Amino acid sequence: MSDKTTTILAEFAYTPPAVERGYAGQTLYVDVSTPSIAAKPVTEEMKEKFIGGRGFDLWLLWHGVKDGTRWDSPENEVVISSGPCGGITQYPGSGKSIAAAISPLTDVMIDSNVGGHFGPYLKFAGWDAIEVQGKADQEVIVFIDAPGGKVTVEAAPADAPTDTHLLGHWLLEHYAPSADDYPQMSFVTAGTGSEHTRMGCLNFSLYDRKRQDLRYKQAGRGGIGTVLRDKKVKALVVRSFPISGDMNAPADLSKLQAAGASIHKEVATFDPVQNHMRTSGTTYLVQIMDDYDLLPVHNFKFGRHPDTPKIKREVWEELLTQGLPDGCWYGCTVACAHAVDGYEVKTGPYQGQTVIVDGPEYETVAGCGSNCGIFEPWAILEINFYCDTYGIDTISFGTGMAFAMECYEAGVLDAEKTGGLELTFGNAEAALEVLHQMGRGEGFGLIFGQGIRRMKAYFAEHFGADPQFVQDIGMENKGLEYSEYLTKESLAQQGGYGLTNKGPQHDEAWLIFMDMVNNELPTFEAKAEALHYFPMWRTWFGLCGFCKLPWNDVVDPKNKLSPEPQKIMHHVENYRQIFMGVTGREIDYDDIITQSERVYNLQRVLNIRLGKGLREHDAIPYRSAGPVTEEEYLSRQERYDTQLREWLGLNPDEMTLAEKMAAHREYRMDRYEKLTDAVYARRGWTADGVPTPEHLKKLGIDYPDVLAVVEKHL
Amino acid sequence: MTIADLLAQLRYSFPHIIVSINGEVITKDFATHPIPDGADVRVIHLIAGG
Ligand code: SF4
Repeated sequence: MSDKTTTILAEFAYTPPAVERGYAGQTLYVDVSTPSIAAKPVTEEMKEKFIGGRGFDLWLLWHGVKDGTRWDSPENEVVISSGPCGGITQYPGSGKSIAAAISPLTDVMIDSNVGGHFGPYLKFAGWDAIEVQGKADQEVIVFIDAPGGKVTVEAAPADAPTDTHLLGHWLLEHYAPSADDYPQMSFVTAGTGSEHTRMGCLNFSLYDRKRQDLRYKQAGRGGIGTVLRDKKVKALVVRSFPISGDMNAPADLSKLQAAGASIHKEVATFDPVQNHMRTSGTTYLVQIMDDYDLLPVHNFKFGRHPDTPKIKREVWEELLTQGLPDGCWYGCTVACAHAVDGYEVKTGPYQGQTVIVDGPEYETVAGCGSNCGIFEPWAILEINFYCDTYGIDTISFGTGMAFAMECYEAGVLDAEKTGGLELTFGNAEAALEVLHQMGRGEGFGLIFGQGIRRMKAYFAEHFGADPQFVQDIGMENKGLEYSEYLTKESLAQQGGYGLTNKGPQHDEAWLIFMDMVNNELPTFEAKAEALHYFPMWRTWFGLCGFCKLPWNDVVDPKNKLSPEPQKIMHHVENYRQIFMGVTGREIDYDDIITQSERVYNLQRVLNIRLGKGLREHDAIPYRSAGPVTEEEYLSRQERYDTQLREWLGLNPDEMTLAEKMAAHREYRMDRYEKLTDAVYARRGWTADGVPTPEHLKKLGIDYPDVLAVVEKHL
Repeated sequence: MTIADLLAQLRYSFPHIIVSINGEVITKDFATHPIPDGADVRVIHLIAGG
């Protein structure tokens, strides 16, 4: 058991406070440069205005960074917080953490929502958030030992591995006093891939009592793992107390229990006939997206592929271990966090090892599978395992690889430029070799690991690529790779990806069916209203510690008859009751949106402060709006020709292909600009995307330093 | 033609769907519910996904 020979570099003694109404009342500040450790109070204003989770991350970052801070500046921070409702066990999906930092990919704040036990355990250990600043001059581990009453920064011994599946076991052995303590331990780690790329993810562990082994959930987006490794932090470790159902000390437990009883019944009744999340997670979306021509195929060129059945839900259901309660936090009856047990690794440094592969989820199957033309489940599992243990985001890897493969097929890359790798669509072995190069920090993997935006510039400068072509096909916005939905026929979702704070991640808004299939958003104003309401509603999950999935992935069919079925108001009411039950604060539906608006707008202002966050930064690559290549146009010619007739009154029979494509481009990009105008107006922003002083005042965040930022842009 | 036949023809495989026929919302028995000739049929997909 505990076998620690580490050197303590800094120590901070404390008595873990009792959590009251969802808050521990203090945040933990760790500067790994000095190193030093301190407690900061959580003020009433923080709770009132920023709630917790992403709101606390933002507040701490706002005060921690400077105007010129970049991802690798010492003052950049890795901040993690769950939220007041994080850690309750009565309602599914109530143990999420939000990790944030200034991103190596976007140079603005990234926030990433993640399961695992770390965030709730951190709170039960006495801290509503952890803020890690500075850069260590040697490898360190930050250890929060609540039962021991201390926080330490320790030198990591040379034998401590870096890749997550090895490091996790090492940490258990060295930091848990005995096997009885394993369930109370949780770690945040990255991996060797995080060290050599900008797309590093964080792994949040949970000790799976049934498997008696560690599992990991990923804060994938935006390179926070890269920031952690840049600080030479090998791991954040928390040892908390044994879990019980009232550790949040809610104001009114009965409200939580009532909401929980109704949702658990709904999940048990309807999941088996709706999405089958309890047997196969989010993979149910693969075939559905293909059916609707929305599954990204070959770098988002197409929306379906004849081989999709090879990677559909039923295939994963066979491979995923069944019958275990796979929630990523206690009490989650949706239990979609599945794993493949006993997987034998086939390539790379861990070839021959038998491991647990966490996932895959829809985004990984679509991104590392269909988008790269890879329809072999073993290859998707292998990429999934190595991305996790190397600390690489599967979405950035998948979308980036799809871009590199199209560049290869278009002649921008060749085997000489890739060091001998034939990066054609479907070549899983070549994709895996790039991944191993990212782990080793060598070869083409180093160029690839910089992300699509920097690959575009590199390919233009060193390989003679046409800058317009790589800009058009490289699916990034703000420097972040797109997540895995085709948006060409949904203007609202083009905005859902582009008109964002952090970049194209679907957790802000997913409006494709409302817009493209139902035509419920026929005007720019209607789209703008949806691009106001849904991003604000979804932001709120990240303030409180909730998972989005139990909101809308399993729903009682009677919801269809409600006045606003898309909002699923009976679930919104559950969340309102839980918030009031935990915090004791009375809120209505408008308050929920206002709480999110404060955070959303301050995050926008932080981006502006960091030199971004304006209209030009919300521009999208043309591939997300329309067909870039003749091949794409011709594959959906009937659709596009009909649109020319109906939308533009043109006769495609009298036009060349080039003229038809040009007409589409002009029309589609003009629409995006008009949508941008409408959304900014609805959000209370100027035409350049800057929150107005009046709007900030209305939200109660017109602090002098906030106003000083926006006033420069009015 | 039943509602289920129509949804299959359109590849509408999404589980959260509302169908109305001549303004009347149908919530169940898609497999057997017939669609009269000339009916005004509307299919609405609820959000989920993403
Ligand atoms: S629904 Fe899935 S992702 Fe969300 S908390 Fe539950 S197990 Fe985790």
